[in-house]
Amino acid sequence: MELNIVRYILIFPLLGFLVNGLVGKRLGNKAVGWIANSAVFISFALVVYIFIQLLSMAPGSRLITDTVYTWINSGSLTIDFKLMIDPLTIVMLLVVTGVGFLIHIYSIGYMHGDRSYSRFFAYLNLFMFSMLLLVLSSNIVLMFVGWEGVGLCSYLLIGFWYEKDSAANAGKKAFITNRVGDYGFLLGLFLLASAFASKGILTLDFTTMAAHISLISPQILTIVGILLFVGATGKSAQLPLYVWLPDAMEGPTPVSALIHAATMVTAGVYMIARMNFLYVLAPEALEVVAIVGGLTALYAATIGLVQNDIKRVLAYSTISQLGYMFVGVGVGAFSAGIFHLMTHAFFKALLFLGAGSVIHALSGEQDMRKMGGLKNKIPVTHAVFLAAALAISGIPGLSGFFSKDSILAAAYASGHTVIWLLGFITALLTAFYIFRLIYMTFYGESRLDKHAAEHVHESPKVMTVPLIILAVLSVIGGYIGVPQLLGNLVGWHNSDIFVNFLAPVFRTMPKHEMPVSTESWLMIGSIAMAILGVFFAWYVYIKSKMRPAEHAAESLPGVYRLLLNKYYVDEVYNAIIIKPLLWMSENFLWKIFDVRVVDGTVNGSAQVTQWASTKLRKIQTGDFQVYVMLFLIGVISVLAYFVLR
Amino acid sequence: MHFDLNYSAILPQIIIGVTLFISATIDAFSSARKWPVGIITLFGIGAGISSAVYLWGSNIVSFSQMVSLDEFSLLLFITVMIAGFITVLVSLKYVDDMEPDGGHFYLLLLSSLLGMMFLVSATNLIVIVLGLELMSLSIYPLVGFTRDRQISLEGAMKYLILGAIATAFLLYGIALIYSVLGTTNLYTIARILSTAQHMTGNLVMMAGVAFILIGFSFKVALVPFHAWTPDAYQGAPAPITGFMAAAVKAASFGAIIKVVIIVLQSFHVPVAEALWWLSAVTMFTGNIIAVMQKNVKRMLAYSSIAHAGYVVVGLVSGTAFGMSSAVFYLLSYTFTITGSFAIITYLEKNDGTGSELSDFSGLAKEHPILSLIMAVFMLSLAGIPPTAGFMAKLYVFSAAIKSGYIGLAIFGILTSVISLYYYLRIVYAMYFEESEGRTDTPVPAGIAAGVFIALWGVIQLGILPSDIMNFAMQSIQSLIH
Amino acid sequence: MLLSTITLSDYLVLSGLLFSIGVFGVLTRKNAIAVLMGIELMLNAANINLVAFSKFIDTGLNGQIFALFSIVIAAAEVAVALAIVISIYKTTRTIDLDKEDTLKG
Repeated sequence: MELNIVRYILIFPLLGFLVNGLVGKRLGNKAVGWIANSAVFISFALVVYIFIQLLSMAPGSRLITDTVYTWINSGSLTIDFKLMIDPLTIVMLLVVTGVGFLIHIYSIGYMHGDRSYSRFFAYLNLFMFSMLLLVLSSNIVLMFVGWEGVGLCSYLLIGFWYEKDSAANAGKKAFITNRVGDYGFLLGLFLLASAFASKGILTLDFTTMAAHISLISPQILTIVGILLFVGATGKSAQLPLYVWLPDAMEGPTPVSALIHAATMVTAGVYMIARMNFLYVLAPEALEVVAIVGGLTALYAATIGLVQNDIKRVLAYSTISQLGYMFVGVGVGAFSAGIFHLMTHAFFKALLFLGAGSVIHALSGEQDMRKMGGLKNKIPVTHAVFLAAALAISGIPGLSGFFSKDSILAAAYASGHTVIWLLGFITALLTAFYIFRLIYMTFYGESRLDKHAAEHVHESPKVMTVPLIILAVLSVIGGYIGVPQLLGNLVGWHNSDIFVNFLAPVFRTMPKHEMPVSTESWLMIGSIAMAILGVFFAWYVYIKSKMRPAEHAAESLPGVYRLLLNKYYVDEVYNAIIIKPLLWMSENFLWKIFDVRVVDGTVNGSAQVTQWASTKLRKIQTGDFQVYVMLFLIGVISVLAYFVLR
Repeated sequence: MHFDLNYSAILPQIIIGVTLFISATIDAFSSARKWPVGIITLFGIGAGISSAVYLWGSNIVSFSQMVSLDEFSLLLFITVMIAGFITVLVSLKYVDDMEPDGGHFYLLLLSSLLGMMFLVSATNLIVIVLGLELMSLSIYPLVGFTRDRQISLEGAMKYLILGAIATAFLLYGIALIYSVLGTTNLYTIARILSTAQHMTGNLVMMAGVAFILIGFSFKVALVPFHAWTPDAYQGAPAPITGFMAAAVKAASFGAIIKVVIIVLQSFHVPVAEALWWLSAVTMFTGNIIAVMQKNVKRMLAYSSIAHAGYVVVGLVSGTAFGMSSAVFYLLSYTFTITGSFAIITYLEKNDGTGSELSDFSGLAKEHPILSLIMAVFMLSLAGIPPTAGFMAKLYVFSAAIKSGYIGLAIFGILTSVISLYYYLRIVYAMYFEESEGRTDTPVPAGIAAGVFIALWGVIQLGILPSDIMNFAMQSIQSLIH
Repeated sequence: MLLSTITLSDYLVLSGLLFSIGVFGVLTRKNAIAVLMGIELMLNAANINLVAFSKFIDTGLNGQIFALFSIVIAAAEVAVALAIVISIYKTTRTIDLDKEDTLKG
């Protein structure tokens, strides 16, 4: 169905950007906030309207398109500026505009008093435009435009407080790392285009490509799939290109919530789900996706255990959760991956905004070692934070449980036992680090410095209301995708609404049936892991008031002290299990591998370029006779080439 | 021998020539203020562009097959005249602030335009050399136009000496080809070559082709024939640097497409291999050296070297699509670079300073709109959608891939990733650094107009590239017959 | 009588020699005027070629006409060059081109 209002979803945020960007300073902060928020709200309302339209259509034929004009038409390639909405798109649209709108409202309070208020909202609207373009585009080239656009906005917003050197550098790092990924994406795109062109298909529309994908040899599809995934590792912060995301926390907290948790970083997952027709025919590429996802999930979770900056814990947590999503799409359970994308958007946006509320309350303090005991001082923030933490830990009944469980079940069912195990262990670590955060921040005795303690205050309504809405979503958001196993218990047929809704979009992999008993045991296992994680965190941080992370950081002669310690059992437990693990993750994974190897590679390539530049420019001595010499060397080489060949 | 003198075959040239004459007369009799000469020049170039648009579709060969007016030459006329138009707009205030003989600026610009137009419409090697020299001899004094600035003169002198050497090689090459084929008429050459066999085995002929390739490679600044570029670009007044990067390059590439790629088609294999290497080395060297530059004009000079490499990527394939993509690239680059230099002209002071990277610090605070546009230009140069630069790179790389030059395309994309580093430094300076006390002068109307025309082009070619690409295809088709 | 003993290859050798001397001059001389003289030699070497080919190969006069044009071009080039050299002399009081190396890197 052709519906011309689709384009207005894009137009309003763009208008918001133009107005706020060009004349925002003169309008005053109040007007700027109103313009930016209403632009996003109108988009959200349109999305809801289209969602209702879509639901009224027959399940198999839910497709709305809007062709704006023919963008590229050059004989060999025809690419329309065409927007497309199918069930997958609408889920993304609802998440992007819905969560985006809540974060816009929150930003009014959070950015209150910032001197670049209008610039902030202009960038935020530009981001919304780019993200919506990425999601709505009906072909991969247009998608790439949005893909680049969100990268640019991310760069501008990370470096928003550019007076801080660290912020400006983090922005640059994000952009450059992303470009490395984009390089892979572009190569994949070109390869795909030339492969299709050689078969006489001169357009890169998703629907057209899906219809003719079988014309192309599996080898090429595998290479294309891996190259596109390289792009996804950059944008979605997976091994080895994740390095920019922790640094990206230098940006304002609403930005971290919107771009670096809920929406932009999930673009890679969305891209793979969108290209599912290709990946289904390239199982090797899909295997790579699953393995990288699983490793990233575990790897980032271990690093998250020892971070002391509240936002950095959440950053590593985001990387880890994105790993889960890639496991989901990687084992062919595309709807499970997208489902987790959606619930993660709820609870991770909430965690970030909640962290923002904490930071706001403490006048900018981000170090958890200087927090503690905030439970009663900022009760609303505490309550919503707790809801989100329970959700991400996978406590039964909350959204994270359903989505994480369906990914793990799919991984196990498809025979990826090792990857399942990675995810399984990660579940434990996730519960541990998130409750470590909760306990260090909200419980125990206060470790605030005097200045901060005097000013602790709950955030204004404009900030807490979005938090509460997100908390509600984090709690109930999972019930649209209840596994059939649990649905049967209460006599609910077709309880997995989400999967059924998305089913027409995805090509299915060969189905692996699992006995009900196995599925039940898996579910019980992951529930046990979640509870165990929460318990460990409680035991370590509340019961025994240990600070294992801090100890591990400073003490190598710890063995001696351990013998003197009267909590012998505790310490052995600490030394045998927690300490080596933490030591490993801090000193090896984080300090050596993360900082030196991965970071070093990124920085190193910049240094090599600069070194080459410094050397090469020495040729340009300024003496014209050297130039003539250079010219003659060129002449001799070209001449020799022509005459002697 | 009959003489066919169909003057409509050179109508745009006549318009520019007449404008040159009128401007010279007014300049000679006018007082210190030179803006009337500039306005006349603007109208003249505007009329020239209109005539080229009006003549679109015609195909006239005249003056004993010396020049031809076809869609190829018309599209390049339009390209170089747009560059000229924006440059004159941008220079109005700049020239007015100069010493009394500032009016020569417009005259030299017009005569170089005239040279370029003859260069791209020529169908005889004699006319090609004449056009090339008229263009070059008018550009050299423009580079050294500020006669009291040492670096301006230094740039001009180096450009002239190396340019003359390149001309000598070009002439020598033409002489060698003439010795084998006995003619300088491009139609005749093409006809002889299409029937002759084993021409690639003829060493004299091969040397001739090599020399011609070298002569043109110098004008478009391919490495290692590029050494003059950074010095001349940095020394020249900012508007002229933009004009050189846009128009001189476009016209010279026009000649390359016509002579080297189409007429000397039977040498495609060696030419393509040589161009492959030249392109790779050029993209690499230009982008790498640009990384460490502190002066924005010099940085963009190296960037322009790299961009010549990207245009060559389109030419390596030798297909109609490849050549069309190269023409599209030239047009997109023209808009982007003249726009960028319009903004640099605004920042450049009369003593030639003001184009350092630090001079861009904090520009976004004082001129949010100007900075935003500059950022768009930089993104276009880096090839980021949805700008003209992205479409241009998309076209040339897909042309290369379609003809099997996947390695070159991959290398090109890789170097463009590097290039982002230094383009972003300008954006970074404008947005993320504090300014160091700039005297805040209003943006002159001429510069604002020039910047907006360029911005329009960058957006238009980025968002609606199909029409322009179709024109480029038509222009190449008009050449292949 | 004398002319008939001079063959095409003699002209080509002469022009090749002239060209090489010109290149040598440009590469070794610092003085702007001497450099320009070297360039003149290179351009005229090409002219000798054109005229010689015109006489020995072409039936028309293409090459000789070309040579006439190219002499004019060379003259114009020198005129522009000398104007720049004079300006350089006015600002720096020297016409040694190796002193002109402010622009580099």
